[in-house]
Amino acid sequence: MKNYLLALRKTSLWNRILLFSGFGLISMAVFAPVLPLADPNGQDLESSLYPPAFLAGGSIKHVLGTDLLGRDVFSRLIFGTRLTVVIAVSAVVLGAFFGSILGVIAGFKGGKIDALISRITEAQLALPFILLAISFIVARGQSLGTLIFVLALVGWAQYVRIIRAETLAIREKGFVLGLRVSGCSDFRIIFQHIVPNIFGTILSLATLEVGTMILAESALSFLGIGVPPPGVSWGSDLASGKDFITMAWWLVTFPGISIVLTVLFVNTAGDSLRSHFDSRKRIF
Amino acid sequence: MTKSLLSINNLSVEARSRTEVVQAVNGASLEIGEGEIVGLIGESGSGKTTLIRSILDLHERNVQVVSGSMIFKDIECYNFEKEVNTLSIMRGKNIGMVFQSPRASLNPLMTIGSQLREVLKKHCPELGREEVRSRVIRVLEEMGLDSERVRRSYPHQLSGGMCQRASIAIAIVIQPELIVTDECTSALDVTSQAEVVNVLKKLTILHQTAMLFVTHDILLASELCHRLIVMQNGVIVEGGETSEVLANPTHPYTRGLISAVPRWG
Amino acid sequence: MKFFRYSLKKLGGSLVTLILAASLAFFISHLAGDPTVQMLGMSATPEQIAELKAELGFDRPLVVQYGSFMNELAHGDLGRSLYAGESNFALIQSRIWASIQLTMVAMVLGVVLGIPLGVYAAAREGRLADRVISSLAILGQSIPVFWLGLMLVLLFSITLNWLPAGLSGDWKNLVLPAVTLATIPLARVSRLTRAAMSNTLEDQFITAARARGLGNRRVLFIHALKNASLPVVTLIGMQMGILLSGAITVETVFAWPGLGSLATQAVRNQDLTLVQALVVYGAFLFVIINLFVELLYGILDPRIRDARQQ
Repeated sequence: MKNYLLALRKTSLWNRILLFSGFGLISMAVFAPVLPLADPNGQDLESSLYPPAFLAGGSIKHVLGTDLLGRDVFSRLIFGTRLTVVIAVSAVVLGAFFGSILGVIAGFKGGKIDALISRITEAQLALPFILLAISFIVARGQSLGTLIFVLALVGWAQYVRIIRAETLAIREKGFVLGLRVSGCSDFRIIFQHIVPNIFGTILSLATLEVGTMILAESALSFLGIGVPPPGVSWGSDLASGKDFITMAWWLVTFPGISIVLTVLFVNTAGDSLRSHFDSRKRIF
Repeated sequence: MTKSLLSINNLSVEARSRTEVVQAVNGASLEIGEGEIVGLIGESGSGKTTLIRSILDLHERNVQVVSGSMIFKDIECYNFEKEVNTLSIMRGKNIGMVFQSPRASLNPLMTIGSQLREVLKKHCPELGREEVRSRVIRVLEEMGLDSERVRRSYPHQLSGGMCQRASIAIAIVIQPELIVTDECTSALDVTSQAEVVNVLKKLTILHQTAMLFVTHDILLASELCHRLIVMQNGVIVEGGETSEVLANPTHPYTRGLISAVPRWG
Repeated sequence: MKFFRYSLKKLGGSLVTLILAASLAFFISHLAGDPTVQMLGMSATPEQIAELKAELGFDRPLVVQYGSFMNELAHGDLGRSLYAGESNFALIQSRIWASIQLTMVAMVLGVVLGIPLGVYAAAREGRLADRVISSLAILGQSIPVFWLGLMLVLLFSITLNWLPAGLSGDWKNLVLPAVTLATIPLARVSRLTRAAMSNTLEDQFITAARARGLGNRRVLFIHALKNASLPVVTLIGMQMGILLSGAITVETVFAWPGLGSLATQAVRNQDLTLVQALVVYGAFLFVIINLFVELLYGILDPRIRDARQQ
């Protein structure tokens, strides 16, 4: 315990803020069900379209107002973090995993396999993301699993190119050639030597991608093909709120701010993480 | 004693990083006469690059001159105390510079010819198109380059030695009185090195250009230079006629440099 | 001659990419399962499903379906809308101009504003202007573009009543959606320009240019910017794909009669063939624009033309 406190004191103020925010975000997501919040899906048609508490007509019971069905906006904001985090992280992990594997294979094996993988990756990148997601979800039906899969599908291509380049660079290093000559199996070389070195890059890319995934998920939910009800998603809240923009501005403002803040946090935290990794020495 | 062209007096330069201040050059003084070839010798970190950058006022943001003065052709072009600084006017026009890495100092997206024309248009605007063209061809031929081919080429299409000679061409085409070369042969193979040194020798004879030849290689400098100046840790430790310095070095560092050179026979 | 060979190579590559992309689109939407169950709903009988399948050709083996798909594509046929029965190609053609308008204006706005901002930020590196511009760019990349549209509507249409909130009409209707969409390229282009300029300004040929006595403005714009613009040109090509995706949500917010609203319609109607047609068309646009960008790059950078395929 003492070690952790000491380490905490050494980190800069900025990093401490980020750490604290991250902790807060995760806590919100994890503990939402046990917090004293209204049921995010609890309809109360009597309290439909209440404005936030600080405006006329609002009530303290619904701090940030209610939507058409009387559901509490604030509660939906907090509960929204759960699926946002889960979906984004799952999609990133899935996409990073497959993308990196393909990238390593392409970079290490070279030749025809590399050409094939690279061509397919290029083709994938040519397909506009939302349209691709739409075509998949329309065919398969809306579900959480489908959503995560589609997001991962859209994201994996980014990893392939960069990981492939890194793998190529490492493969050309003297010591790898030496290992191959001495009969070391490809498998061992990849796992013992290449993977530890590209891990930092994968992590950097992944942190960048989380923000993108959050934005992508909210876009899909906004279009009606994202998180299926009763899941709480800021994107779908924006979609339903948009029809009442003239009379209930709070329905579109607050969910959007949540998205912005979360993405900003993820991006800044990712930046910090990345610069931390860059200054580290690489292991061989 | 030839007439003095450039005279540097008591120049001190500091380099600041976030954690410390380093004295890159400490009270350096040197003189270059008209048509003279002076060698400035030192290892990396000796301050020689900082010193010559001061001549052209080409420092990075964290590097600053803190004392000293410079006189060029009897005019005080720089004085720290009196806040005089007209060095940028002389850049390229009276003083030319050749850098170490041959390709890095050329714009990769412009042909050699257009880079030559650009310099001529800037410093000799009175020249007509025909004059400019003939000067470009002439200076490239002087460098031993095929002018028709080279002036239409991009840097990546030429060898390292050719690029370096092209850089020298760009530096001298407006006929400056002084040329400063910063390790301009260090990045080249032996044959290209010899080509460049020959070209430099020819230059000074043909045009009476003075040269400050900066290098770490004392043997190379002695082939080319009339006088040698040795620098260590920001301080000039020795100076004099080439033959004198080689035969009777007074400073232990100079002695070390000379003895480190492998000799045959 | 060298450029001709380079162009041919790029053209060939684009064709291959397009074919692969179309194939990918096909397999992704077909391996997801066939949509007849979705279309008829839970209460459909097996006979109804089988009948619809046969009618739409979904009962054929996958390879055969793929073959006819590619065959139709080669003839420029994108199939028929499951919902409306019209030719998908005709449907797309009727909406494409509105989308092109919106996307072009947004791209131009983003580039025309983004490059000078990036140059300015690089020239003032580390100082206040740079920090402000960079922070704004990062913020711009963290905001969902459709939400920005909604906020702008809230502010400019509803509260201030300065601009109309959508639908097409005269240029006034274009302003809000175009400005909203423009934030995507604006943020990326300004960030990349700044980074590229900053890197280029550290290159030795810039110092060498200064050593030759060339003026500051010339060095900045002729030498630095031309070199720094190369990665930016590539980015603009890649942006088109992202811009297309962004345009879909923006068109929904502003009820802009372009491809985006066609897509949302297709989603609502479970119109699989129309969606697939849109994907292929989108890929086609992307590949064309990318080809154009690569050719442009070849003109700007002589080193690329001489590079040999490794």
